[in-house]
Order: sequence, then structure tokens, then C-alpha cells
Amino acid sequence: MKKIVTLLTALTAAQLMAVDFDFTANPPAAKGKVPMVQLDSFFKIGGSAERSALHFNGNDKPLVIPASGHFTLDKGITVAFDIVLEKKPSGKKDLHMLLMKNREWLIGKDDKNRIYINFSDGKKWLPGYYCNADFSKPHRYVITISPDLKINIWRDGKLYHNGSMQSWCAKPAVGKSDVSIGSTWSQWGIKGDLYRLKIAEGVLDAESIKGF
Amino acid sequence: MKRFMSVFIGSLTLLCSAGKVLEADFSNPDSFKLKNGAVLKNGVLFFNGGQSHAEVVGSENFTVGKKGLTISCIAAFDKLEKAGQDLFYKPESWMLTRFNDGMMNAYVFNGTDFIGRTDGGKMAQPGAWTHYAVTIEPVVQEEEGKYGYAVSLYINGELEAKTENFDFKLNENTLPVILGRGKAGDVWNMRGKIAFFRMEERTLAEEELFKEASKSKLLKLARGNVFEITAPLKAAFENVPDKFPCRQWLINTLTKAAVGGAEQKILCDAIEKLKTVDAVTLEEAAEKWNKLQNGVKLIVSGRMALIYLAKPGNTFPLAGMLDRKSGREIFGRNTMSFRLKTVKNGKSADIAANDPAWQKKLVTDGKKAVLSFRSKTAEVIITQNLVNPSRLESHIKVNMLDKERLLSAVVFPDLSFARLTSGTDKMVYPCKEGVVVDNPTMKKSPRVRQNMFYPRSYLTMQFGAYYDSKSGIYFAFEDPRGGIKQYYAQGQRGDLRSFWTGFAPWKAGSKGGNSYDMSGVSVIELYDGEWYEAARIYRKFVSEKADWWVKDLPRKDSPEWFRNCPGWIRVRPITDRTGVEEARRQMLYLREYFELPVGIHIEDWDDMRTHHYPHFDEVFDWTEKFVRDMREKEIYVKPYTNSRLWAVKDGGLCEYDYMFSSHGKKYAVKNPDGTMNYEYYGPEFFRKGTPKVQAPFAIMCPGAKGWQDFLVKRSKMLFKVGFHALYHDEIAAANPYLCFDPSHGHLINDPDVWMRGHRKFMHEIKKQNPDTAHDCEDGAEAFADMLDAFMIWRWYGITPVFMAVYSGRVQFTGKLFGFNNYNPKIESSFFIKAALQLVNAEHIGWFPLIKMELDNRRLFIKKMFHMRNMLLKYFNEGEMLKPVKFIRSAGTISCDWGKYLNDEGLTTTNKVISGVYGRADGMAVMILVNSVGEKVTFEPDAACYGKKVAAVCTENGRVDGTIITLAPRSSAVILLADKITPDVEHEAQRLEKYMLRIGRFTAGLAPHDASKLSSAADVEEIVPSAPVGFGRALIVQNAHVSVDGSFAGWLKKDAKFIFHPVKAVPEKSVLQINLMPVSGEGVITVMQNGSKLAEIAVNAQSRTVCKENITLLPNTSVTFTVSGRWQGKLLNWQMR
Repeated sequence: MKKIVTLLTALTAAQLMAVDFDFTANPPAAKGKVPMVQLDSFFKIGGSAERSALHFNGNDKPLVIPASGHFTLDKGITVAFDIVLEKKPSGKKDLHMLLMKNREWLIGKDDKNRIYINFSDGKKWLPGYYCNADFSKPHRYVITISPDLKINIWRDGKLYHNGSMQSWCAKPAVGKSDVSIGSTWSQWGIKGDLYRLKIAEGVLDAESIKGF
Repeated sequence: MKRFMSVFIGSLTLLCSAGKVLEADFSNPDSFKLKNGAVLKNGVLFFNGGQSHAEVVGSENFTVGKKGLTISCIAAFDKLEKAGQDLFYKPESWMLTRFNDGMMNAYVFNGTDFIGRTDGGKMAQPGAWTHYAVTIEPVVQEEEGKYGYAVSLYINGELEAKTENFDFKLNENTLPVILGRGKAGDVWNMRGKIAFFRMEERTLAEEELFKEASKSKLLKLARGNVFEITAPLKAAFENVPDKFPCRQWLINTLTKAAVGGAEQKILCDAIEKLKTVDAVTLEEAAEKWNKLQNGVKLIVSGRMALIYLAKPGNTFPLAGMLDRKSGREIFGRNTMSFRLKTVKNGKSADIAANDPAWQKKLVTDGKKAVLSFRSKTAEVIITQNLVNPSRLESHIKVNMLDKERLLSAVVFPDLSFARLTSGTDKMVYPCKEGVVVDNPTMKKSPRVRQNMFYPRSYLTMQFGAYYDSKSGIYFAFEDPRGGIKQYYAQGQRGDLRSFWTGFAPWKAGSKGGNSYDMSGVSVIELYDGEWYEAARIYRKFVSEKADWWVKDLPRKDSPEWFRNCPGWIRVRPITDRTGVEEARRQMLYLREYFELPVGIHIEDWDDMRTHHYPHFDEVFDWTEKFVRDMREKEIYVKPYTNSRLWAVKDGGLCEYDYMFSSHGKKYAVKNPDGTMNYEYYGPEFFRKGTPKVQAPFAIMCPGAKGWQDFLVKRSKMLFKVGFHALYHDEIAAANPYLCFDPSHGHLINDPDVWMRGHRKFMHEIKKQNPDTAHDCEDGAEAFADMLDAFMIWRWYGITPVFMAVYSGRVQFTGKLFGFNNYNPKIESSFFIKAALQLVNAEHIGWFPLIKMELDNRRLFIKKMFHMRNMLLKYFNEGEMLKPVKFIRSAGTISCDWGKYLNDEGLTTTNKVISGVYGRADGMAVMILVNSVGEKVTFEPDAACYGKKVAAVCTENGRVDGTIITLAPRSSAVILLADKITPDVEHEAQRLEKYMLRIGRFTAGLAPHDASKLSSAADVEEIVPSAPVGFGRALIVQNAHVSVDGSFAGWLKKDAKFIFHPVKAVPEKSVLQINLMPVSGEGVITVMQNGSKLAEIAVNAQSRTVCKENITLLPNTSVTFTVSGRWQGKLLNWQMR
């Protein structure tokens, strides 16, 4: 019983601290503790009138998630997103930065259709971790990065990939900057529709991930 | 292999963690390549002059890079050759040399020439081991076009000299460092020995170098001379009567003096006389004791007590200063000192107060002491006056007796304050608006740069202060003329060392025998309080004596429109790609939106690609009409100009010498060798098609009449364009220069030429162009009377020391808000900066036009404009009162302030930004701005001003009590008054009414949306006989549209959609709106030309709603507003 209470407490705490942005809701809803990003009228609605999404045109400025500085890799993170990316026009690299915590960690998609995960030791970004993925169709990806830099990627509720960045021999920086959707890196603007986004502190277990 | 490893490990210590390090192993012959007779023996390298020298193995790849470089050695010269001697040398990069007069010179090279020389130190003693160190640190001042290196010279771990050398690139190469020989070759080769050599790729601090020097057994280092206390003096101290006032302070002070070298016999004799002194107070004791002897003089005046010595030996005659209120000795290891910087036959030499050559004399008279120092070279007279119970004023006069030696500068006073230990000790440093440095004896602030020249933005005033919770020390060079000087204040060996350097002029052609008569006085004043109270002491001086003080308020020589201007928007139609027409439309709209006249700081009004400084005669065809359009709507236009530089290539696109050689060159500042000084600006300031190289701009001498006349004429020409004001870039921001050009008609090295020259041409410009205003980049106090405002783009404003002295006397016209429209990293700082501008009595803004696109910013700025407008009488006719203290704080916020304002990474401020201003009629306002996007509750201490609280007004009306809750980014004003009179009641009502008006402001249309409406002729006409997707609206507020324009949704409060142009439907028709509802109820209001066409209720079931008998007017936009709690998608509308 005690164990269950502890687990429930931990799960509740994680949920309360979490980002849970639902752009299919009308208007978009922040269902976790972290408040909704500030959406100026410049941002357009993607998806359809029936199931809306936040649209990124490839040139949008990053959206800073308020009060999200606590999502640091020393505690580990769990990130889930429903997103459909569009291919960028020819002549432009098909790079998309999904989430970035400045000088700490990032999750993106490179131009070889791979999920790109990386962290910074505070001075420089390390070589990067890659995993093949398909963003052309609506998949729901959940990525966990543990404090010891083990990576699990779940797709549509199933464990899809696991790996580790332990061999990088570096410690991720821990800072206070907020997480942003997108980044200021040139050519890395997101082009596509984001339906849902969740971020939680720590690595959630398999059961929690299925419902996350 | 073993040998190789031994060489590698034994001879070199390479540490990677703290920067690359090489410490040569003098026990290993492989550490050096010995050449031409150099010998390594018993751990010492010997050089016999001639061509002997040694290369240091492993020194090839050490560079200055970004972290800097420290080179140190321990050496002894066999004898002081007539010529100099080179100590160490990185070929064509850097070098340390001893000149024949004993000074050490550190050189830096650009590969072909000597670029910078740093001189310091005293005559070396033959055979004496000495630790020498040079640090080279890169200095980048991108915004001022200055790139270079700070070079510091240390001897035995003490800083002797520091220079900043700009406008060149150090020649970094891979040649080995040479010991015992340098650039000059055989003639200057070293005769002597070196026993230690070390390099590290970072700049070591003074303490580290002293520690390094102290480790050597060859040196017996002590900080200053140390003498043993003789037995008679010890005995004399014991005999000081127990009841003698301040007994312990007296003993400590005299002990310190004796240890430093004061004549102990004289001290003994003086103390012996104390036995007979019977006194209750220190005043009484001083009077009696002073009459009995002449060896030690005690001067007492209220809070301050001073001890002077007639025979101080190498120490300074002023031996101690007691703050009787806090019971503390003020001085540290040293007290006060001076240093004369002299030049003879082109070679420099310093003469310090502790030089044994001086004959010293002390004369005291009441509260006054005259200290005389005389040698064959010079005579120094220091007059000190205790002018009030807590203030000591000192004046120095120097006459050079050597007619062949020029006095170039005087370092005085050189002060050493003991660490204050009650709570956190803090130092006020007069950089920009003022910097408060915590724990300054130990820590440095990244916002402070030492040894800067006054007057400029990095050294805006002539005072510092040091305080803790118990008491404070104000120290200043109160020069009423505001001449060029340098200032240093930093921790040194546990004390706070502070010194000013003044400059001595001479007549052209003179070789020596000149003099220095300090302008004004230096001051030490003891006080209670913090930075604000120190600023008030300084304010008293400037208000009574300074040439630049503006006496009357409101300031009459500044146009009223300028004083009352709420703020400034930065318009760059070409650089920001706004386009001239778009900028014009947006500005005209903003003028209406703000409901106040507003100013624009315009760049791009002439062809900036040409960089034709200082001509500014490539005015665009559109400029005059643009300015005229702005004038008609009371938009004040102030163009960018520069009044300091002349482009060396001032023709074409920086391509050829148009008028520089023929006209400009002769008015440029000249160095002693006739060379000029330059700033370099390059591609970032250019647009496509211009050269990609940094171009030189010569710094002009304001004392040259030709330059003065040029600027007066140019200003007249510019005002013909129609401008209201001129922005004079750089003049109060950048480094002032001493000019050595005899053809300018001023004295050589005259520190007063800089301000006198600027004052002359600026006053003439103002006189010839009445009702115009003038500001400049950043600011410095000495420019306050000649400029109406300082555009303080790089000032933080968090500790507004400068404003505490000058608010109302001079306006402030801008802060840097970043260049881009939206940078999430610095977004929070936008509101904080604007709020700080308000509470510091500054004009709001200098943000680019593009920054007004976002609703929350635009609304906040409108509020700040009107808050300023509401409080103008306080800002322009009142004074800043002491800063607000909070009984209950709303907490702090740390955020990134962006480029040029990120010295400390994140910048921390209170969430509630506050300030207090008082008027002569006894009324005062406390301004409180919630700068963050969350609700805050707090309580300011309103009682500490000794006034009654007359009203507490928020944007929602008056509130009772001073516990205040403010909505995000809203404000409150507390009216304080000596007593509640009808006038006060009237003022309270005025504030209440205005605050309520401010609370009703809305974001309105974004300027680019407003511009769309006024230029919609180019947009495809909407034909409403077919369904029109809500996503096709020309303007959308508080909602979002779909990518394909087929619908809109995500409604916020008062969502609005404006369609324009819409084809008229003259007949009465049915308006149909198709919806996809989600929840709630609301009303869709349809408007045209301010008239309501329809009001349609909608709810969670509404899919299609209609209104009959609607007639659409021609050429008129159609606006749909959604109010209430309805949520859903607005699909399309149609007239059928």
C-alpha cells in the first residue's frame, strides 16, 4: 500500500510539474502545471477545423515555454509529441528543431529523417545521437532521457528504440533557461503541425508512458 | 625514450585545466636552447651581453587568444647599462625591456611596428633579484569600434602600470620566446641572470603574481618597507595614559607609521609629551598635545580625526584618519600618496611620494595642514583642509624644478582604504549610471572597467563611495571644470585602492619646468548611508561649483516639447527593411494610438553606405517630405549624426580620400609623436555593396577651431532639412583624448581642452538653432549643460546614481531593447527596461519600430508614456528621492537583457520597479510598476520619507493602505505630502483620474495592421456574395487563422477580424455566418465605419447564424468582434 501511495505521489508530482499542451483543444489548453506558451496572432492554426494543431511555417521564432527551466537532464526527462512535419522546399535543408533548452539539451529532426538528440556540456554541443524516424505520418513519439543518458524512444505506445549517450564522456550542463519549441538556429525552424506536446521531469515507467 | 619523457615531464609543466602553462625547469639543460655564450648553471641562466640569449623550449605555441596571456620571470641585472636591456621577447609579438632610467617597458607589436608601450616601475637595483610579469588581455569594444589589448606590468607582484592599446592585431606567431635579448638586438642585450620563467594562457591577478613572486627564495618580498619597532617606542606606547581619548587608534596608527619607516625617535619624543596631557575629549587632547610638540599633529573636527607626522620617513605625512562615529580607522596598509609621471628626452619616469629624494615638511594650522615635498626635480605642495566635521579636502600643486623634464601627469590622491567589515561592504563606481560592487576589496565587477578616462560613459562622474551597514566613505576628485582624468578603484591586497590621475599641460615647444595646479580638490567625506547618500554629497558639489550644472528647473535652454516628450522610437526604414512609406504610415498611426506626441530617432535618413563622416550631406530625396509629414503630426524627428569622427576615406563608398587630408587631418587629435587615433567600423554597419573591411575613422580634436566651425556649419545645414533635434554619436560616450597638436592653438596635454572645445561648439550650435534639442550616445556629466539629453543605450538603470544627481537637469532618451522584433530570451527584459526608464525619469524607448508589433508591448509602452506624461512635473522640476525599500517584497526576476547589457549573464531586478520623486512644494510620488507577467502583492515603506500618504492610486482606482496588489504589467502611484492641503487633494484626484484612464487603455491595432488598412488599395477585393473564410481577414486580433485561410479560431477576449477592402453590397441582404461551435455563449458584432450593422447571439449549438436587412457601405472595412465566452471555429461569412 505504501509503495502504491509513493508511486502515485511521484506520478502526480511529475504530472503537476509537466508540460501538457493540447493544440487540438479549442482554444489550445495547458493541462499540466506549466502554463501555455504565448501565442501571438502570427501563429496560424494547422491541421483541420475538426482537429486543429499549432502550425509552424519554417521561419517562426521559437516559442519559449514559461517556467520550464527545471527540465534538466540531471533529473532526466520524458518528452511526448504528436507532430506532422512537412518537407521543406528544395534548396533548404530539411532540419527541424523540436525542443531546445539553450546550452543544455535538444531534440530535433535532421535532414536524414532521424530524430536528433543532443546535450551540451555548457560550452559546446556534443556530437549528437541519432535514430531513424518517420515524421511524415502522424505518430506519437515519447522520448525518455535518463540522468545517466540512456535513451528510450517509444512510437505509438511501443518501445521503438533504445540507446545511450554514456560514451560521450561528458556531463550535461544544468542551467535555468526555459525550454523552447523551436530554436534560433538558422535553417532549423519547424515546418509542420504540432498537435500535442508533453514534457515531464524524470523517466516515466512503461505504464505511465502509455498514458502519457 | 626515457630521456624524452624526462624532458617532457621534467622541463615543462603543462596543465590544461586552467589554461596552458609552461614553467621552465632551470635544473634541466633541455629547457633552453642556449646561444652565443648564454650559460645555465646551478639553476640560473647567465647572459653576458653581446649576443648571448636563450630560447625557451616549448614556448612556441603560447598565444594571447581570447583568455589572455601572462609572462613572468625572476631576473637580476648585473649593472644598469646606459642603454636599456631586453628581458624577454616573443619575436615581433611582445617584449619586456628595461630603459636606461630604470623604468620597465612592455611592448606589443603588430608584426611590423611597435604599437603599444606600457611603462612602469622604479630604477632597478643592480644585482637585486626581481619578479617581473606582463599580462596581455584582449579588449573588445565592438560598439565603439575599438579592438585591442590591455597590457599590465607587475614588479614583485605589484601592478605598476596598465594600458589599453587599440586598433591593431597582435602578431601571434609560433616563434620561441627569447630570454636576454629582444627586438633591439645586440645593443640592448641583457647583462645579468634569470632564474625563473613562466607562461600561462590567461591573465593572472595581482594576488596570484604576488604569491608566485613570494614563493621564490631569491626574493625577500614584503609589501612596502617593514621596520622593526624600537624598544623605546614600544615603551612609549605603554606609557600612553589609559584615559587618553582614542588611545588604541593613536597607538595603532603610529605603530603602522613606524613600521613603514617613520622616524621612531620623533614619535617617541612626541608620545612622551602625552604623559602630561590631561584631557577628556579628543579635541581637548589634540589642542594640548599639539602645543607641546611638533613631531605628531592631531587634527580633530567633529566626526573626523587625523594624525600627521613631521618626519614620516618613506611613509606619507597623513598617517591616519579616524571615523569617530563608527570608531574605525579609515585607511588600510597605506594612507594617501601621489606619483608624478614625467618625461625627459622622450623617456618616462615616475616619481612617487615615498621616493627617498624628497625633503618633506609639515605645517599645521588649526584645521589645515600643508605638506611640502621638495627635491632637485620637483616641488609638491599638498594643502589639506578639514572644512567640516566629516570632510577633508586636499589640493595638490606641483612645480617642476628640472627645466629639462616635463610633468605629464599626477596621480593624486592615491588612497588605500581598510576593508569595512559590518555586513556586506559595497563600493559605488561611477561607470555609466553607477555600479555598486559587493565586497570590492576581494571581488571585481564585470560592469566596471578600471583606469578609464573621464569624462565618458565608462566614467561619468568624479566620485566613488565605500560603505557597509555601519558607515560610509565618500571619495572624489571634485574638479569643477571636468577635465580629462583617469580613475582606478579596486581591491588590492585586502584594501580598497583608489586613485585619480590628472594631466599637466605645457606650452608648445617646452621641454620641462611646467606645473600642475589641481583643478578643484580631492575629498574624503565620512557619511551614513548607501549609494544615494553618497550621490547627494556629490550633488552638493556639482550644484555649487561645476561648470556644467544646470541651475534652473525646468531647464529653460531645453525646448519644452523635448523635456515633455514621452519617448522615442528608433526608425531605420532601409536597414530594418521597413521601407519609407511603411515607416511613415506606422508612425502616423502610432502617434494617434499613443495619444501623445512622440519622437523618432531616425537612421538611414541619408545614405549611410557611404560612411561619409562627418559630412552627412547625402540626404535622400524622401527625407525632407518624411520629416515634414512627421512635423505636421507632432512627431519629433532626431537624425543620427556623429560629431567626433572623420572618415579617412570619406569619399565614395569609403573608397577614396575626399576631404580628410585636405581638411580633416589638421583638426584631428595628435599624439606626442604626431600620429592620430582611429576607430574602426566595418561590414556590420554596412549594407550590400559596401567594402567588407574595417575602415578607419580619425578622432577629431574639439579644441581645434576649424573642427568647431565645421560642426556649427553642418548643424545649421541639417536643421534646414526640418529636423527637431540632432543626435551626436559618441561625443560623451567614447574615450576623451589629450591633444599634442600645437597648430590647434591650445596648450599641449591640456586636460581642459576636451570639454572647453565641446562646450564652445555645442553652445554655438544651440544658439544658432533655437528650439532645437541635442543628445548624444550614452553620457557623462560634464556634457550636461551643452546637451539636452543623454541617449543612454548601454546603461542598466538599476542603481541610478547618476539620476540621483542629475534627474531633471538633463533628459535621458533611450535604452537598448535589442534589434530584432522578437527574441524570447530577452522578452521579459523589455518590460523591465521600460519600467526602469519611467522610474529613472527617462524618456521611454529607443526600441525599433518593429517592436511595437506585439500587443502586450505596445500597450505597456502606451501606459509608460502616459505615466511619464502624468508625472512630468515631478521628473522635470523635482528631485529623485532615496530608493524605495519594501516592507514586503514581491521578489526578484533574473533575465537576459541582451547584447551590450549582459555583463553578468542574467540581470536581476525587483519585479516591482520603483522610484520616488519630490517637488519643492512638498509633494512626492512613489512610482511602482509591476514589470512581470504575473500578479504581485507587496508593501513599500512609504513612511520613511517623513511625509503623509495622500493617496494610493492604481489603474483600477484608489486603494486603502500601502499593501498593494498589482495586475500583470500594471502600475500604482503613491502620492506623499508634508500635509494634506486642498492642493494635495486636487493632485490626488488628478492622479486617480489619470491612472484610471491608463487602466482603460487597450492594445489597439498593431502598426503594421493599421498600415495595411491605410494601404489596402493593393489588396485583392473581397466579394462577399460568395463565402468568405474568416482566415482571409486583413487584420486579426486575439485570434488565429488557419493556414489556408478557410477558418479562424482559438479566440481570446475581444477577438476581432477586419476585412478590407470589401466589395459593396448596396441592396439589403442577409448576412450569414457559418460556425463550428465548441462551448459557451457570446455575441458576434458586425461593424462598419464605427456603426453597428448586426449583433448576433451565438451558443454551443450555433452552426449557422443570420441577420437580415444588412447593407454594406462602399469602400469601408467590415469588422467582426466576438465577445463573451463562446469558443469555436468561425468558418466563413457571406451576403446573400
